[in-house]
Amino acid sequence: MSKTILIVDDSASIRQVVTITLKGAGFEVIEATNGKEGIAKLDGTKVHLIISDVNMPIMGGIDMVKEIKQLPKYKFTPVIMLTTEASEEMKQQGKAIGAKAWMVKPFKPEQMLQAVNMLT
Amino acid sequence: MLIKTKQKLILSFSFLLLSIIFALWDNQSSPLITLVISIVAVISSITSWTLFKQINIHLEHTLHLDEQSKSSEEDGTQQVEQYLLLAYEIINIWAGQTELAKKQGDDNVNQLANNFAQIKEQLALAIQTSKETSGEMSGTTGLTQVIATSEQELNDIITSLNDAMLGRDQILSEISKLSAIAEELSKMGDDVAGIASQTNLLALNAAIEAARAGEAGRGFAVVADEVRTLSTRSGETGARITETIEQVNATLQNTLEKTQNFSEQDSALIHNAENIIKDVIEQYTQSGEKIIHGAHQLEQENSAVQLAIDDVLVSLQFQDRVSQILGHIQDDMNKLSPYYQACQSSLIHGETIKPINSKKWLNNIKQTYTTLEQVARHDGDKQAEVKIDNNITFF
Repeated sequence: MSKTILIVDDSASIRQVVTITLKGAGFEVIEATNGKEGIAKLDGTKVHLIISDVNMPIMGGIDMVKEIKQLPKYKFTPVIMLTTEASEEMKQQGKAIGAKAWMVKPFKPEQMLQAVNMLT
Repeated sequence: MLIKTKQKLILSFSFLLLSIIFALWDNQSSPLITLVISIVAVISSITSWTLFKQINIHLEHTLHLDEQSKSSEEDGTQQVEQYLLLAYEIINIWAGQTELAKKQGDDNVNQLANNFAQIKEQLALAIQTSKETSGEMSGTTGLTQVIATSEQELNDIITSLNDAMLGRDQILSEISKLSAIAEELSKMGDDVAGIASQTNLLALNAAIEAARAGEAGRGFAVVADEVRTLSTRSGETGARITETIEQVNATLQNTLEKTQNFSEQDSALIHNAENIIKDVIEQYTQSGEKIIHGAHQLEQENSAVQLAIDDVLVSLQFQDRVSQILGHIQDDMNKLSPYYQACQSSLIHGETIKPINSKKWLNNIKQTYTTLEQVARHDGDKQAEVKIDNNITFF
């Protein structure tokens, strides 16, 4: 049975690139355009990994991950922050909320797959 | 200068007044003194008038300059208002144009990403099919193996046919032997006929001797007669045997000849079949190798195209960066625009313009940047580039 990954990003092109990369490797992908929608899309579904942007309208990635980490079912679900934010301060913020990796856009598809395979 | 002129005017006017007072007060003076006083009065009058004229000209000039200055100041204020109005309007326009460019970039790059994603998906399927095809062709159940197995099975059939040919040759050999036996039997038939002839001759002599013996030889004559009859029948049987064996021999010879002809034809056919099978297998092998080579080449080319598309997918992600950079510019324009509008309003109403801390403003906008190259460019580094290697940190 294939594993399921939630991708949350307000950029359609980034979502498409992530989706095609992961689907090509046999993963199921759920897409959301902001943090609030990301939480709604979880809806009890078994998710093996969450990939999220940081800066998004309505609800950003940091706030979304904070909320998700409060949900018992998803408390230990690994999270990769995928963002253009490259400052060390932001990375530490990601680490503090419990993210497992910080990936700066643009990414190479094989880099993404390596990280995903490592965390799922 | 104006003050000195005024002092001179006062002095001159004083002389004029004194002259008039003196003329009115003293009617007893000599005509000479009266003349002097009159001259002083005239000179004072002329001087006063001249000085008054100068002061008047100077005042008019000053007034004119004041009016000019006031007009110039009004013009300057209007120009500043126009500059502020332009700044307000143009920033709104720039913000609108930036939003338009951002939207068009977003829409089209998203479409482009969608198209490339579909191409990549189709390519992945093509690569999978290509791998399966080349795998099927080169594996233990592949085309090469099928051709090799077919060749082996066809060779087995040829071997079986050759074995059958060998068996038939052996039968032919046996038939040849039968022919020799038939010839022997034919000779034996002739011998039987010869023996019958001799027996008949012997029986004839016995009959003659029996007749010569008279009554005593009557019984012997009967025996001799029976022997002659048997001899005749033996001769006839021997002749039929010879005839029958000759027929058998002829049939055998005929069969042997025909079978030998068939054998030669079959040998030629089998040899021909061997050559045809060899050619067909050779052609299949060559075609199979070409197909396998083509499939491998297709697989390699597809993989190369997939790598190229991966690079394209990396490039497409820059839309997100561009969109963010334009978004920051747009946000700052939207923030600056009301400020200029407020300045313009203050000028129109004669109010003091609210001061702005440009350093703080620039620092605030710097804080909104998300990419390192934005920060570098803000600080004046025009060489800053985006790095896409080692861009992942594990916690």
